[in-house]
Amino acid sequence: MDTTFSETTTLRRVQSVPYSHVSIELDHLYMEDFNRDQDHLRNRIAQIAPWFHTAVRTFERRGLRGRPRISTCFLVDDYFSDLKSPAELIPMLLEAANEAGVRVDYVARESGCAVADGVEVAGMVAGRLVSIPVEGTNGSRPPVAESGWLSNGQRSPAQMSEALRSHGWQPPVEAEARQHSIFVDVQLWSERGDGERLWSCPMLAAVWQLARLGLLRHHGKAVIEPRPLPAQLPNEWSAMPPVSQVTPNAAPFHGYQTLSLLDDRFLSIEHAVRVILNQVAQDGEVMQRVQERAAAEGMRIAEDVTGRIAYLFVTDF
Amino acid sequence: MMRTQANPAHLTAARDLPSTPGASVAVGEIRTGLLRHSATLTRSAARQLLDLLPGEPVLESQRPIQHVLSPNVANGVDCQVVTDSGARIRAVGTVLTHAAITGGRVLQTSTFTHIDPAGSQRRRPWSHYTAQPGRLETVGRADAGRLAAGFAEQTGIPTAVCLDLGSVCERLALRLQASPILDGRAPIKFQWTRLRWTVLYAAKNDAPAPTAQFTLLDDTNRALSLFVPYDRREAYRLDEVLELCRDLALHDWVLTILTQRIERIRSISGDRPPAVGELQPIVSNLLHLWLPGARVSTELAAVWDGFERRPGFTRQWQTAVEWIRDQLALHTLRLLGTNAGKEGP
Repeated sequence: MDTTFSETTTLRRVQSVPYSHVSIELDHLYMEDFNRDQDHLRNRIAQIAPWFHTAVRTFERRGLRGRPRISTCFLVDDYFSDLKSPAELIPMLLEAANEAGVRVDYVARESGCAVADGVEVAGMVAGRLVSIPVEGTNGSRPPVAESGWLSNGQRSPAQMSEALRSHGWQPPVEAEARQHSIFVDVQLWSERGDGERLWSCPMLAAVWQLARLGLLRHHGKAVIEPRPLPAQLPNEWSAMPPVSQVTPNAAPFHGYQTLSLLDDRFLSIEHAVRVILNQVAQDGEVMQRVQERAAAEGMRIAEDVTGRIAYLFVTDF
Repeated sequence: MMRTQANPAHLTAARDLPSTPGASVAVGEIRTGLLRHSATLTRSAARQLLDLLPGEPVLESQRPIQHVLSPNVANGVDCQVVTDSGARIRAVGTVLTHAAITGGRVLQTSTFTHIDPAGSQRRRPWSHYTAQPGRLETVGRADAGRLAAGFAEQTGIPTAVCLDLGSVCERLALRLQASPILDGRAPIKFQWTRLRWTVLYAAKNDAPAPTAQFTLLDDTNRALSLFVPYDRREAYRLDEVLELCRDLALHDWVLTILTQRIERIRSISGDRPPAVGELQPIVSNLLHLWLPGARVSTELAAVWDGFERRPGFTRQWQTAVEWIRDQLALHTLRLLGTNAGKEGP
């Protein structure tokens, strides 16, 4: 007789999510942008619009199998400030986008990148950081970790003794330097008075990229998933889903790739985001499934996460 | 060096393997010891202790014995790996570490990685390595067979520049043992054992069947080498191999501790019957742990079966257990005799 015995708690299950070909982010605005008049908001969106249309056309000409699936999203900063309510802000945003001929499919709130539906997403991603090793790292010593900071190499030696000081300063080293270093040390969080972590903007933006790429799982279950936009917009951002679907028949929120159309004030933040994302150990099974899904559709995607992220930095000109 | 099973065919195969594309090697180290806790650790406490990565589940099974397994934690390395000829090759990537608690008593920490010897021309961007945790890639082509043999041979204290999986295991073990979840009191004195293992995944069907060699190097160091022909690599995939290695390490440890205790008891008591106090901790802490192959897949159970034929782990175990039970029986008889004497007229 053939017998089988299994215990469900011994298995690790991973949820699949639907993917668009690309997820396009339509600028990122601080709360103060919304606090200025509607003209300012209109100008901001109008500045992005031609680049958005160009991006869509470029993508459509790629010769994908079937209809290209392109979804758009907008991230509202409610984490560092909470001045305008969703009931006020979302209609303003949609109106400005509509005037510029730009479609907004999903609206996300930045605080959802810290905690989404009770899951501490930023903490989860921070737990998966594998600091970049310099040559000679063989496992015999613990990785040099400065709590709350992440660099792209080896820091300048601190606490120099008098003897060393006479030899002068020793530079930090970028682990992947080409001849010369561009050393970056990113603050991941600070501590609030109550001891709770205040996540930094690059850390939340790194979570945001991973969410858009459909790579986040909590105990195998997808986190930061879109839900319909509440019919009655609440007065508190905390009452909003982490990601709200604005356009009913929109292409899926997650994309095999992401493109972010951003103002150039975000250049350094996105550099920091890439420093973080390069060092997040991915879920091997999720990565493999995304590759297989994309390949089945005839789409080639980069094997690493940062290779799937594109930007267009826009300056007023 | 004492060989519990010698299979010269394996060594020959490993060394003579030409550098064919597609061959790879997985290597790992396991530390096995007793939790610093005076009682059996409950399921929920074990789960809490092994919750190493937020968002990743701690896996557990109840049959035939409580077994709790942590998620894998990644560490980055960029160092040398050695071939059996002493050549050093640079390898870059991540190694994974996890911990397991069996029967609420035994703690194992295990660090491993899969080495792809195809070789890139230079170190690749770090995002390439974090996309596939648990893999190392050599910089420049290497021969998988020679890497496997080199790792197996390299025992004792690792050289400063070479891959050191043991230290990663030991750091995690130290951290877990210091946890406030544990009361800090190990119920018996014990030594940790170290198992160093390699799996050579051949690029072709060089041998009709997988082979395994288990070596006792000294009191605490053991080595296991597996050779897997191409068409069996799916059955011998890494998670199954890890289960087998932990299971072998666990049983070898229990057997080692048991036989060492008996040896010590005998050396102290000579021909006199040992004190019950000496036997009691063994009975309550170790005897229920003997369940070889409990979670090992059907295919890999063949490795266990081989080791059961020669040297016969379970045979040795049973002999030891019988000795202990005999001593306890004699003790009981003596007690009955004494009591009968007291109650007599």
